[in-house]
Amino acid sequence: MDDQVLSVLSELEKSGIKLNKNHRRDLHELISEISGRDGIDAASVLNDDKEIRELLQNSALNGPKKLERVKDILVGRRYPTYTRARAAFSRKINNLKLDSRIKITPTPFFEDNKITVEFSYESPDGLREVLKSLEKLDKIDLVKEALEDRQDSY
Amino acid sequence: MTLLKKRLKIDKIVIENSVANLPLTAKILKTFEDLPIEFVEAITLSKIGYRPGELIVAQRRGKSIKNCPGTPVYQCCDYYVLNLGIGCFFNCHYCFLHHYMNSPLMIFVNLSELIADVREFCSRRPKRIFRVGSGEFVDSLGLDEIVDFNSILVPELSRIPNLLFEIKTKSKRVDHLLKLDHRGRVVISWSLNPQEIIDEDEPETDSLIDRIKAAARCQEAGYRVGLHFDPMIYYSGWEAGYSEVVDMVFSNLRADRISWISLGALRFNAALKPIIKKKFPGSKLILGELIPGLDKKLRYFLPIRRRMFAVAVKRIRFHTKDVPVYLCMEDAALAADVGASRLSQGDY
Repeated sequence: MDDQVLSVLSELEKSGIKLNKNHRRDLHELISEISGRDGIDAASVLNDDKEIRELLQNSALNGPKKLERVKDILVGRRYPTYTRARAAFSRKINNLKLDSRIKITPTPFFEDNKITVEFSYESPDGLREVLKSLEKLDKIDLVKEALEDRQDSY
Repeated sequence: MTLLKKRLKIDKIVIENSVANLPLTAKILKTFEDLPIEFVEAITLSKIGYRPGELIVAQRRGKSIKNCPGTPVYQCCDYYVLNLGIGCFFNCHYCFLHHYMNSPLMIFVNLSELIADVREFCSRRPKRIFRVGSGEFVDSLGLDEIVDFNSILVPELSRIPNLLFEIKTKSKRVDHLLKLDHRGRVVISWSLNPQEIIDEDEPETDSLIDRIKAAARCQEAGYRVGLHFDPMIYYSGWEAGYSEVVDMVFSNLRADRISWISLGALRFNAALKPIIKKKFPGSKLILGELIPGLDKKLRYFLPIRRRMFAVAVKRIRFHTKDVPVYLCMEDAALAADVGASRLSQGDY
């Protein structure tokens, strides 16, 4: 492992984040790849990020929460287009206000236009409500719209 | 010859006894006469016990022609691969051959049997035209630097009426092809990338302009040429970079002598990522926004691929409406979306 990245990981540990082997591997990969792509040193990947700096100093957050948030921010920086598309997709689903018994899942990484719909119900009335709610899906091409949401960004 | 050996990094020849007396073996022995030679009874495909630096001269056993190992979940262009060996000294950073990084270069010299195999394969469906290429596991012209395969293959394979034989390369060395009788049934294809990508990730190959000039010479010799923008690589300035390559192509080549243009974005098995990282630590290839596709290969996130293909197709269509443009290992919907087509029998 890269010494610079290792020293960044120990800084994270000093702020109360406990890292197991898998966390270390994932964070190492994210930090070294962002650093390589952006031409900045590993320490700057964290230190130059205001959001990360603030959350590491936030005493209201426990270690696991901090870790989760740091990782989310780094994933967002490493995969910006995908992260934006995923957020756009979630936004569009939320806006539809579907029945809470419905679960919508796109193909991993939006590699095709397919949507998987799962739902449950306990009575004929419940089924009718779910089906009524599902009708909202025929007015929107979810994947296409999510991917086009930020077409200008690449 | 010393230069050639240095370039190919060959320091020993290992010959399987069953091919020891074949004409190509004799040529190889003459070319590399001052290198140590070992004759062995049988060479197994796993190549256990051999090392890089050894040139393995072997007999191809089993089927020599196979379906292109495309990707079942994406659209395939119905291509067949003639396997002349495995290994390449061009050493492009993204090449799947790095999976076999501790293996030597192996070549199959029982060409009469390989040619007979192709002939028999094509005769099974005489009304269908088969596209068969030799550039999957080797660089088709790179191989000729060891022993001139194509001077035998071109005149022989071009006798097969329903075969279109494709020679795929990043080499400019075409002199030996120009006078061959190709009967219009051989397409010589170049993989193209902007020069900055060649410098960065294909540093041991010939330059972009040399490849295009070689293609022009082949067109003058009556060959049709193919062009593969594959792998397209996303980098700062990619749009201008690929547009310039397209412009260079059409200012140097005749569009009516281009058989096809394929576009394919960078993709590789996840297992190759640590290998690229270790072998080419300065390479930015793995730093793109690569996600696992339906085939589990890492590839650029779909909107990035779509944009890259759309820009390239638009630029190509600015120059010509007639040359078929297809996508390699992508789905039909994406191809339609960016204005590419599915390559069909009528196109070639």
